[in-house]
Amino acid sequence: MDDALVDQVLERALRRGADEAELYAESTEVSALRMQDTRLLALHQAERCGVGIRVRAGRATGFAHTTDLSLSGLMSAADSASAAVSAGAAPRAQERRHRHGTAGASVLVRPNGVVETVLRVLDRIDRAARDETTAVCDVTVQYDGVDQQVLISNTAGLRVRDHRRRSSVRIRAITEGKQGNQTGERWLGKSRGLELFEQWDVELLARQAAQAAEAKQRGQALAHGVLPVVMGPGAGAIVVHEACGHGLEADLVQAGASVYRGRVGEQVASELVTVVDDPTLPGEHGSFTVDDEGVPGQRTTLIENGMLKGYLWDRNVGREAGQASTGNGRRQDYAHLPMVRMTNTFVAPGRSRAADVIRDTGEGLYVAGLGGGEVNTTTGDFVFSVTEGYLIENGELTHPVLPTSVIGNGPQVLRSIDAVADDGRMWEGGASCGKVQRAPIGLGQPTLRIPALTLGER
Amino acid sequence: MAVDQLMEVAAAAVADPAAGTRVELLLSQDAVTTVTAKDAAVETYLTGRTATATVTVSDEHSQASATVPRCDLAGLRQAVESATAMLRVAGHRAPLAAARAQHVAGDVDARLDAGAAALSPQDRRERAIAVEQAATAADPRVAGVYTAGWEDRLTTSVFADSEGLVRGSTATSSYAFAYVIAHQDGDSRVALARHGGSGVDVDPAAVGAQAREHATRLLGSRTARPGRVRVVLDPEVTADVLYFLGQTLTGRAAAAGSSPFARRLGELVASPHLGLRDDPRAASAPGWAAFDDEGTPTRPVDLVSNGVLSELLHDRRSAQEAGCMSTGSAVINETFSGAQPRALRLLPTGSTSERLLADSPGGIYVQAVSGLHSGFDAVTGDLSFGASGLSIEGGELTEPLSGLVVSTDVIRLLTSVCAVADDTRWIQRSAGTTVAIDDVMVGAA
Repeated sequence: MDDALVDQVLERALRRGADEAELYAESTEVSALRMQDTRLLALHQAERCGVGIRVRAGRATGFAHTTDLSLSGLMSAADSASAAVSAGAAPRAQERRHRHGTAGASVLVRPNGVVETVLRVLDRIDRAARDETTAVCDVTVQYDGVDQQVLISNTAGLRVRDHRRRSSVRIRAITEGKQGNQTGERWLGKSRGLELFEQWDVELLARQAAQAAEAKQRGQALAHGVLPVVMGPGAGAIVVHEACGHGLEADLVQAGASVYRGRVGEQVASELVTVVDDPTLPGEHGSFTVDDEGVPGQRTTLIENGMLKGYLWDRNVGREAGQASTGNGRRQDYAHLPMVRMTNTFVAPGRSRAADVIRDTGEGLYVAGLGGGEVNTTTGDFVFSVTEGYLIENGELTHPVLPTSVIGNGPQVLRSIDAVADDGRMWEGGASCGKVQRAPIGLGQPTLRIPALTLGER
Repeated sequence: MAVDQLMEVAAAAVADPAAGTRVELLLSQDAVTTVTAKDAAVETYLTGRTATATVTVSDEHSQASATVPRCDLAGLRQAVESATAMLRVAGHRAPLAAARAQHVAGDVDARLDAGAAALSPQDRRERAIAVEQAATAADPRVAGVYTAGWEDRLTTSVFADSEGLVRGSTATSSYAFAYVIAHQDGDSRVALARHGGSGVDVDPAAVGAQAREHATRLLGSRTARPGRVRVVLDPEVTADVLYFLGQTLTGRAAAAGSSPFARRLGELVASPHLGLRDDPRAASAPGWAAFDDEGTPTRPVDLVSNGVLSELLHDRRSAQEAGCMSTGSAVINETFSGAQPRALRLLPTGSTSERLLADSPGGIYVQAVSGLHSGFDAVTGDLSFGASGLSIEGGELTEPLSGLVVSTDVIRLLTSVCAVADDTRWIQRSAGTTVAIDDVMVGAA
């Protein structure tokens, strides 16, 4: 969309009077390939192109989205958005400030080579998983690639463009054995083009998926009970994402739906715990240059040595509370309103050695893989699924365990963490958070220990 | 564009496929309005107009598809070219069973709720405010809503293929929702209530009132003693469980051995009086569809009858491989291509929710769950999730409970169902019903 057209649409959106109007235009190419048992089940390319227009007047928001990008289609959307809110004095549009950004690294393979390149990668992954063990009876590999260009402009003078690229692959191996069919999974997802598959050893991930599925055939079922739990590095950060991250999103805080409301400056976690949200990390799955309201991404320390430092804000919620946005306004696509979301959230490394943490635990559960979870932000109660775990016996990892769930209370768990190792890293698998809308996120943490967590029973 | 115009464009777009290929086209036009309310005023008023076309090109070996955000002839032809080019790249590396369309002559099906079609912006504002007001009214324990409102949509779909089939349909649907926050004596609880339908059959005030009642009655929760107990699922919970259960009931997953129902057709997999049906033609189902994304007419599919696994959901290709007919369950979108339920529900066993509770001397009423999406293993069927609800004593709901973890697997769960009430209520792609299940392991934090 050219500048003149954007100006015209924004002026139209203000015509009936409003505090501010914003235009979000998106052009996205999505590629998806799914291979199962060496057969290509899905080969799909999609183009997503549309515009969302937001008009704010007082506390009311009008929003209209359309895939009709003709002048009449855009004007009609602007009219719909402005008609939805009560009229007020029309402000003058401010002088524009331009900014451009690119969150993804350079794409080595152009889009017209995507299918051939990805097919070769999927074949390599499939072969590696099957060669690892004869117990593998099924391998499914899913590739998703996103190439998104956005333009965000508002009547406060902002005009910014961003280019985001993400690639991910999900590997699922199934083994057949005495525990029936068991799965092992590995994920890889980053803000990268297809060069991701040259930078990462995808065959190693495939072999790990097969090993995890095979290990579960020897897995023990855990009884309901309370155990010390050591979270392995990387994926374990879903605990922090669920246990406290969502509760620090300002929309939930302001609605009275967070257990962390009114607690800035208080000790809410063990002194060993520092939690950061940072969309500026190069190439991570939740990275961007500007958020979906055009605010530059920034590093936000949420908890520092156990003390709550602040919340995550977008422009909309921040405006009502008199707070500046922290650059955390994100939306699934042009058809959704932005909302406060995490980006790349991680626990900073500590000083212990991971091997010492495991050794000092004596008896407990070591979590190597998590399948996600959910939190009730009002109470802090959470549940998450352990998809890959091992018993800790006499300070050593021993038998694999069958999948189970772990429940706990976020504030209690954060306060109880009694060891944080120095092996912090971001998880290689890009996750997707499903708080009403989908958003790509990054997760990271070092090995850490929770002295007591409740396990479900199968 | 009107449905007949769309059918004309679709037929023209697929009329001239490349040699040796077959082209299918699914067009969708969607007009949605979502209104949320706060403090008895409109908070957000959202309208959207979306056009999407998905073209699938196949030959004897492979298929490829392309989605574009437009319904004009030039755009559609470009999508056909793009999908055809991808198919050439895939080449013969992916032998798949050839799947031919199951043609049924037809023109336009409609499920239109006259009331929904006539809703004005003011009507919609009033409905959203009615949800929010009922959610907060006359109860000082209710701190407010995180979100509450009303949504309705008009969807027009057209399917056409290069063998001359053209079908069209139009449907209205609606959805009311409320997420309520309640506080008392330092304790905070939330509850979500949802109800979907074909239009104005959804009662906004009832949804708000339910969310309020559910949030406030959890205040002062305590934990429970772990053990095996009778569990009664609230309709909201049943709908969520069915949503995930539906993913395992596909022919593709069963054939690959990646479903707990693999090789179980014809076997008892549930309590003998249990019936489970996917019914995309149910009159008030929000997921109503006259035909699936491959143009196959939809029909009620009895997946479980009298406890026996009697059928699985198929698209054309998985059906061909299984030696049966498509069940009209194909779904094709940006990220998925395969069979999925559109309107999954349990069939009542002749009890009301009141009778079902009265017949439960003890146990736990599960009102809300968390972590279901991650706690469900679609391959093994293992199921584990966090829960909150109320204790059942002497057939009545008593103390609020929270911090529970329910652990089971789907076969054990279905086999242990002892009653399904008649309070069926559509949520989105599945329906909620009060269900009693015996001998479920419930742990506690």
